Amino acid sequence: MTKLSKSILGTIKKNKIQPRSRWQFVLLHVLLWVALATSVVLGSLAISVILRVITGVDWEIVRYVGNGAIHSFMLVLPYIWIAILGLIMFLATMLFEKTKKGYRYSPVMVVITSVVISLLFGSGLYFVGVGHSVDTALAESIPPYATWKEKRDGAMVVPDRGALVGRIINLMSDEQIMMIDFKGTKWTVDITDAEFKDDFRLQLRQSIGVLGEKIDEDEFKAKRIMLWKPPVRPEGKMRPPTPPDRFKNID
Amino acid sequence: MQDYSKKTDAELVSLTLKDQEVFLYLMERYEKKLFRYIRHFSGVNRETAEDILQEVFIKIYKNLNDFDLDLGFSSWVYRITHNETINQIKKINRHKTLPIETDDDDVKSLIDILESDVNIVKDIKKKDLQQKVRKVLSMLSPDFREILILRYLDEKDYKEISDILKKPMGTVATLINRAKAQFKQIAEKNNLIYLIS
Repeated sequence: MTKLSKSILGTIKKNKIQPRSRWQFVLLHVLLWVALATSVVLGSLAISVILRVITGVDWEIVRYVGNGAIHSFMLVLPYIWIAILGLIMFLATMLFEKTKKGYRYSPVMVVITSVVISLLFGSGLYFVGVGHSVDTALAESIPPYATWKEKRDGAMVVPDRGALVGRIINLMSDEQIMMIDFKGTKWTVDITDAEFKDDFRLQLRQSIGVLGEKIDEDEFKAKRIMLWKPPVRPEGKMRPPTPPDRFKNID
Repeated sequence: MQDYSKKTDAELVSLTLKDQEVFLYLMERYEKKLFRYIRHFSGVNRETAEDILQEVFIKIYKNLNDFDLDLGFSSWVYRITHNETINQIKKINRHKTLPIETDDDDVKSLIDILESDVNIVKDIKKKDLQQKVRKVLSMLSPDFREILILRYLDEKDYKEISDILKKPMGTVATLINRAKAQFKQIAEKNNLIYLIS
């Protein structure tokens, strides 16, 4: 035996150093995998909300407002969610590298796999309506989130070019409604000759898009009305159209 | 008295967990290799290398229950040594000015291996050559120096290096090629090798 080895064993004995228990390592590895699984779930949720946001808008208005396809798409992209997704993907990659054999895989492959898994799960969650539920729940419980959404949608408010997006605040008559656009301006909208894109019933607090003509600073004549962010599953919250019952005050 | 010399590393780990004394045999098996690796990699003097080695063995002992049979004990202890050496170098903050510590034999073996990749001037005196190779090694960036040491002095294969440095094998191959390229570049500047056009 060498002198150094004996001296090291002496130090171990003198300081009563003991090997750490196996369960401590097992627990650490389990926690790591739980964190990794959590980040994949969060990534999938983020994807489902992104899909919900992108498909929830009415692309007729988006295309009308945007200058070309790319600009239109940029108007709709939910940058906050994309940033959150990027952060989660980064975290998942870091966590995977910390697993026992994670370093054996190329980081690029890990990122691609992580994105593909999140896309698959995220699409599944979107199709069962989770993206819509998360988006709605966040908007209802976190006021700044709702404000951010409305501000983002405010980009679609260009009355001078004949486009309004906002919420119905008063169903005045069969011919007029009052709405507040997502930039905060109140409008009296003449819907006498308006064509409804999808058959639906106007309701208070409903978000709609209106294409038409600005008549005055607070008056707008609608030519075409559409739902802004209809539910993912139309058979869910929205009832089928019943023309005579088109206007209904839910309050 | 049991003969531990024929036991595998994994068996010795299991036995150490039951009997502390068996750890001596594990330490003896790796002491010289790890000591040499620490000195080559960090350039620290003998005393500091011994201090680092002591910390390494204590860490190995503390973490014996985390040893993964799939990894291989050798790669696992080299990984701990790599991490501990880096930590110690950071502590003493000397990593940029450390001279490379190599034995003449090591330098010779490195020259032999590198000869297949670079063309060493034939008429250079052996002693001068060794000094120059040592100088070139000391001038390499720490990452490149370490990977050449692991590959050519400690004779680790790509998978072992991948396990020690926790990098994918593709990255290891790239690093080795870059390290050789840097070695060649520095060696050329020092008139150690010439290029065949």
